Amino acid sequence: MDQNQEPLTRAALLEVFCQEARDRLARARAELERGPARCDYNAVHQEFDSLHGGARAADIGWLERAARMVAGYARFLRSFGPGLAPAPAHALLLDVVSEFVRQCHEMSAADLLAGRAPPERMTTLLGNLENQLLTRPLAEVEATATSLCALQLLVVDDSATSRLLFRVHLPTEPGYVAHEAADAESAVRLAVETRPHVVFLDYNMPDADGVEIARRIQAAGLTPVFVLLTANVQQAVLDAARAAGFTSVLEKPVTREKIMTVLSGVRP
Amino acid sequence: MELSAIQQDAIAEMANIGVSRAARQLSVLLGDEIRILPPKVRLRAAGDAVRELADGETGDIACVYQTLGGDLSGRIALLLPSRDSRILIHSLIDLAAPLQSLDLRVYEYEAMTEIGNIIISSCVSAIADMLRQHITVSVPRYAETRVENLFADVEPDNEPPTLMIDAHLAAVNRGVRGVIALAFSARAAMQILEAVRRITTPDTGAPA
Repeated sequence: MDQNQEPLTRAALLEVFCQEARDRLARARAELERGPARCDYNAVHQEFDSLHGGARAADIGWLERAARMVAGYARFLRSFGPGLAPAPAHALLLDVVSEFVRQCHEMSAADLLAGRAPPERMTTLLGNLENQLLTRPLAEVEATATSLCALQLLVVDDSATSRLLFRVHLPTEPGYVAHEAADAESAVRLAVETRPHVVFLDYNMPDADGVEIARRIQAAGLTPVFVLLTANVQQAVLDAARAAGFTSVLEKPVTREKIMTVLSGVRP
Repeated sequence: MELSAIQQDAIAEMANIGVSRAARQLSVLLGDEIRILPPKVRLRAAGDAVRELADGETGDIACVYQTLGGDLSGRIALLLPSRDSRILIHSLIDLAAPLQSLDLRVYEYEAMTEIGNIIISSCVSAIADMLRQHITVSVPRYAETRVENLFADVEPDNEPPTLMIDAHLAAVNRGVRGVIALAFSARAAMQILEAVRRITTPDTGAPA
């Protein structure tokens, strides 16, 4: 940016930029408020990527750097796959973006023109982001991400044997936490408590079938990935499950290979 | 009423595919090769059909059974001599034992029920899809009983013909033998024959 530009012209440019930035931030925050299970991190990334470009054009160094950092973090959360970003990481991003919204609401073109620095809270939040992602070696970031995002699984089956077999065949690598429920009521309760990323549901159970339990979990406001766990793979059952939002089927008897195939489909 | 050769062959082939899928799942569970004898298909008064199935079985058997509903009503069961059911259960428990501190003996009946459920459901799924029918299966039940008791209520009046299908399975190395037995009600038998007719009749291409 030409520093010799007419002050009025630059002020006008910054005014337009401020308005655009407020719109972008509002959209990003609205997207994040959908929660980690439903958030489209690609949309968040694009808003901040554009904000980064605008800040660079307007020659606002601190905002350029901050927007780039947030865009990178949104891209990082996107890499976990739909519905699978770790909740604490999502909460941190929402915190940062909310602070962004507050500051940009208060900050005027005159502030930007005067080159006023971002407030301390914003700096702290951005520091946390930077700490988590951008200043650590990649391996450490990946390890942190793995521990943050241990894939929470909920296995719902009235058969103790079926649950046992699932446990036996579940990969032993870190990154998977399996919870178990034997009936509809405890399935919904555990789902609310543990907020699983993936729910494996038996189809044929005494108190409710898997499709009905999936509906109850969805009615509780959760949007995990549903996988049908069954040996009853007749087309009518698969059609009913698909219509209820199930994304795949784990055919009994379960094996490690079958579990890995399903999990690799829900986690990049 | 008798089955024609074409009907007999078509139903036996359908059963063979269903039982083969069940055998594949049993093979995964046991880590063993499963051999299947060609399924027998009979249209008989229910009592006669059950007596034929029970022929040679003098005592109680271990079985898992499920009632069929939806488009086709009836009953399906996995029958094993008690000794063989124990081998089957322990094959499964041995797999889990190194990782579990629980006394897995409490799982015995439970395990047999789940094994039966897997085998029966995979067999029924294949048959339902081939017939383009939707068959519901009840929650599986475990019983130690006589064969005639198991199918007694499929056709209570014992008059209309029941479509009985059974196929023998054997795990080659573990020496486990079993039978998958299917009894369809008279009404279901008629629907199956009609479905078989549709499937085996070439499309003439005539306008509807």
